[in-house]
Amino acid sequence: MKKIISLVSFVFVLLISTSAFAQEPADRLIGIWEPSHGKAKVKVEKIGSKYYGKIVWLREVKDPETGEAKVDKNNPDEKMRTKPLRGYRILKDFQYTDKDEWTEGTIYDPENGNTYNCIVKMTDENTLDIRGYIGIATFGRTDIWKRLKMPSKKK
Amino acid sequence: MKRIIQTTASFFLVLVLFACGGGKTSNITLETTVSADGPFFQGGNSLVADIPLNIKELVGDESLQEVTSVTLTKAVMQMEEGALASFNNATLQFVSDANPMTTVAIINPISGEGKSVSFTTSDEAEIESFFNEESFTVLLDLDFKEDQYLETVEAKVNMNLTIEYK
Repeated sequence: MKKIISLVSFVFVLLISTSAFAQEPADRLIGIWEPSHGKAKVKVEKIGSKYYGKIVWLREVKDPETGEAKVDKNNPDEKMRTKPLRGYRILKDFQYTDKDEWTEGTIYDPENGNTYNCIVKMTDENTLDIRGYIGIATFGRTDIWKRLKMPSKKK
Repeated sequence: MKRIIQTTASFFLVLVLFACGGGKTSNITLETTVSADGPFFQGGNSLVADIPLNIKELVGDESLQEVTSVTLTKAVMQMEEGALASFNNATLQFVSDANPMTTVAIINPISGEGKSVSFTTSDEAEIESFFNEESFTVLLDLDFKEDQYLETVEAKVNMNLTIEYK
């Protein structure tokens, strides 16, 4: 009898812990990602039902021309050009489809001030294909982003 | 010849008056308190508030059918005395399920003096579609100078808006 109770308790605890740590497929996008150029790191978070990515790290923090922290100097809206690049949301409004894809979003390129339609595809848990395009997705450019992994502590 | 010119001019005048006659304008103030739970780490942290909208009540016109244009003319952020000194800059945005996140105003840098500070408002943000919804979210990104182990941070945001509608 004692054995049965122990077994049932074990299964119950296992079930509880599995459900607690189970991640929504859509939320796998949450994390810190590094574009292939390595100049920035982008943190993806969920706001409401959509996903957004903001720059949290820049390899070159200061603008070499001004010596000040980099700002969004190419923004088409002149009054918004003092907005800092660190903290800037370059990925906006992504929604999950059921094919490891997040669509309906846009990506902003601070280097030219252009905003592109964008599709994010997760090719494996730590790799994203980020495809920016204008009009139709066929004519666009894909960049590969890697998830930033934290080093695990050794005992 | 003079008659033709007069007739043509009258026709265009009537056309212009007809085109402009359908719209109405109202200036409103929207006040909200955005907040977030801590702890807060150095860098950008988001404070949010949901805005339930009854646009007819806001503009005081029950005949309103559709909002055609909205301009944010002024936005002010208020915090407790001395609190503003904790932040480098701020970005004010609107977002909803049906509309993309839109930056409407920024402050960079934030002057640490006093209790309130004015934003620079965007001339190009298209925000009328938010005002044709039943609610939207105001999102204030505050850039913290350093980690702050606080339970909550709040800011009052006052927005002056010019609403054009029919």
